[in-house]
Amino acid sequence: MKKWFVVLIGMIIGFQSCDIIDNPIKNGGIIQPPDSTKVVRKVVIEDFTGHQCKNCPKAAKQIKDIEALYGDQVIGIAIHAGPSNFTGTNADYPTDFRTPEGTAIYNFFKIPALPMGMVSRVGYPTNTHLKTYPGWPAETANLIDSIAKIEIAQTISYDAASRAVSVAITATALADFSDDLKVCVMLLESGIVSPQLMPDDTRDTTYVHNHVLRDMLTQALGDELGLHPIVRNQILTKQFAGSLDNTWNASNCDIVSFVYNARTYEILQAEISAVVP
Amino acid sequence: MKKLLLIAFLFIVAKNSFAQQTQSNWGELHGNFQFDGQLYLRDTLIDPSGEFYPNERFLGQGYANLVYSKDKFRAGIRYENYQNVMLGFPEGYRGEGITYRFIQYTDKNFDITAGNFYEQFGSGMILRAYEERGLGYDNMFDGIRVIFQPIGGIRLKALLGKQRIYFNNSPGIVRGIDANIVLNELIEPLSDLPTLIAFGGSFVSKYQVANDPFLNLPENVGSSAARIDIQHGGLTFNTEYVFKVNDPNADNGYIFRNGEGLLANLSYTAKGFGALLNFKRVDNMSFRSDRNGSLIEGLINFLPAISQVRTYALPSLYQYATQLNGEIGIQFETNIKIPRGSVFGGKYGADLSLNFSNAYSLAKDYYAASDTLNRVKYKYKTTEYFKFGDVKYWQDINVKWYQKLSKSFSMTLTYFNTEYNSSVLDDGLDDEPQMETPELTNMVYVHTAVAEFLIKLKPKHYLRTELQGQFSKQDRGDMAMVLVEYSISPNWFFTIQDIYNYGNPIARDRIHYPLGSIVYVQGTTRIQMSYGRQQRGVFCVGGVCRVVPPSNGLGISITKSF
Repeated sequence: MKKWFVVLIGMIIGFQSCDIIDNPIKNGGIIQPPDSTKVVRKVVIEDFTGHQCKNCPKAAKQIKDIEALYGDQVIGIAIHAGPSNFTGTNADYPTDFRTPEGTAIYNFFKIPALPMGMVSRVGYPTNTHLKTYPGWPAETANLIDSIAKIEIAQTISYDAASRAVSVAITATALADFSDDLKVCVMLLESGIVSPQLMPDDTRDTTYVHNHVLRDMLTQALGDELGLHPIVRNQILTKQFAGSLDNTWNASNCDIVSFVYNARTYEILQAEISAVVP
Repeated sequence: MKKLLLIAFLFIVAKNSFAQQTQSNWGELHGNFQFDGQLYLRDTLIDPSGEFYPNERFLGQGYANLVYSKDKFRAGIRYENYQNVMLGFPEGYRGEGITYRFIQYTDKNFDITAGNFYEQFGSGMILRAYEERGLGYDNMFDGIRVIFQPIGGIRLKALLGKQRIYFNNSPGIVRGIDANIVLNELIEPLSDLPTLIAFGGSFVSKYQVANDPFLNLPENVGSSAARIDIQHGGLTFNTEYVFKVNDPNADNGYIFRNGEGLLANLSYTAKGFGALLNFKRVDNMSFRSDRNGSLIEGLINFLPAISQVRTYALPSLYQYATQLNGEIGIQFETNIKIPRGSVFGGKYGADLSLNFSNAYSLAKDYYAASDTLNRVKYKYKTTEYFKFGDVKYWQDINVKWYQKLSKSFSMTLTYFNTEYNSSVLDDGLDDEPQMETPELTNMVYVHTAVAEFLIKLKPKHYLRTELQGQFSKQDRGDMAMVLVEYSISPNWFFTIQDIYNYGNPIARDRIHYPLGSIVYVQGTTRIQMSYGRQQRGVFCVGGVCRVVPPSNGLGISITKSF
């Protein structure tokens, strides 16, 4: 009888340990505007997606919501890559958003399903770098207030006639590094109207695709930026050049640069600028 | 050189000494080993662009288990190796390492395990950690488990741990207790009763840090279950009910409604007759130790499918899978032995089996999008508890007839009539759009017939054949299959089969899927060489979709236990 009492007490304690949520919605957000006098860490969300992936619009909306909350501190990148079931083209889905670089990133990080994402690639090489979209807000919140270890300044030159673009990167170390650093430079386009399979199995012909990876000015997994040791206040510079395809709207294109730790692949800092200011 | 000789001498002495001691009082060492590998061939028919053709060309994976036991102690390890993981298995497995290690002490009253362990409470609807290597599924615990049997008839279990996700542990911590009481063992006067009565209860909770900027997420989520099991003669009834508090997760779209599940089984067996009836109702019972987990990651519980597991190749293309977010369904099965000498039974008798199962959405109404709080919190409300909903997920009726016609010839004839909601079961489409627009439901109607014949050619020599035909106006269309297996018991098995998808609506997919294999078995060793072409598949779970890649190649599989 005494033992039963112990079991009963255990169950009661167990029930008490449940968190019952009456109001699930946090009102008004929780963040403070970033201090403009300090270098803030920007968070990169790489969203592996496809225009024939019905759940992918949910992930795109998640990024939109996170951007609305954190503003410029969050940079979303839509990488169309993966099985042709989800990313291939046909009469209903004519635009080919796939890129060799996007596919290389998809393969390297072993993306198992769509939609799937990485938040500043934290967690690699363990599988904890792969996040379903409901986990992106919390992962972003975990990183958003962490101290920036790199500051990036990028200078963009664009020649409308030749559609050539060049990017000068200046990265300043705000800490000492015992690992090599690499840099990736991506060219994104937003505002692309093209069909998308929706969660209710319908085809939205006026869907607007944003932050679509169009090209990379570096290799898919980046170029070398600096070899270790790298000391605080050390300045690392690099220049890259590329061009815009005639079908891309230059006014809707952005250049995203990010620096990552060559050993852990964690993205330490990122910057985004419009191709046409 | 002298050092090498000395080391070799010491090794031989130690080995002999250990072997002798093992036989006397050093305990016992057992284990098993398995290796699977495949050399992939480029096949433009099933993979025109080569997108699934692996760069490695050859992929292989294997493991070895070692378990040492002596008196009241057991200890074991498992080494796993994926270099690299084979197509079709979860890509999260990569690399190699010790994934399983434990030490266990067992005496009359206590069973204590530290390290990795598998466990199940009741039917598993609240907690089940198990391994299914063929699917790459393994959600074992890494922690502590204590099983206590204070007196006969009472067994208490308690565990604390994290679950395996590939080569890591889940971010959530799982705590659980379970009590099982067998009344007939506990109360002496009841021990002679013809009716066996057992009941039990469980409580399981998980803890995971929450830092979502939009939602107030619960960090502690608890679930409890109660069950009863009654047996009287050939009649058995068991049922379990499980309840879970708010558990927003990737599967349910981060809603805060409570979850519940009810499973009831009634069966009766008598000489020459058996029947069973299952009922299951599940509402929002995805329970993972990582709220953001998907596919096979971090599942704490197991919701059994109340439909037959299909073993024939063509019917298994349309297999039901439990819907974690909600379903209601029944299964009925009866087995009748037709007596020898009767009109239908013939000289040797026959077996007739009839099975029916179905699954529907729950009867529910969705909250309007304008009702923000209820929409975010509950998404829908169920209307009538036992009513079947508007969306049919699955229905299957199958009849099997087995008959031995002579000493050397027997046959099994089976017919399946299946309705398969591909929108739900393959594409993961939610109920709401299907309720609003029923035309969105892609229901596949399939008729499948299988004839299996077994001929004993001479002592130890058998010939088994399967003829299968699958007919549908939807999905893959019509298919036919022939299988021939020649075996020389107990060592050799030679199999060749071909599936021809001659009725595929897409002309270029009307292709053959051949498969051939040679299996050699000797004692506890099994070696298999095979060649085959594998079809592509797609499935969606918890809001993400993945492709099961098509493949073509030569495979090898070796298993050994000792």
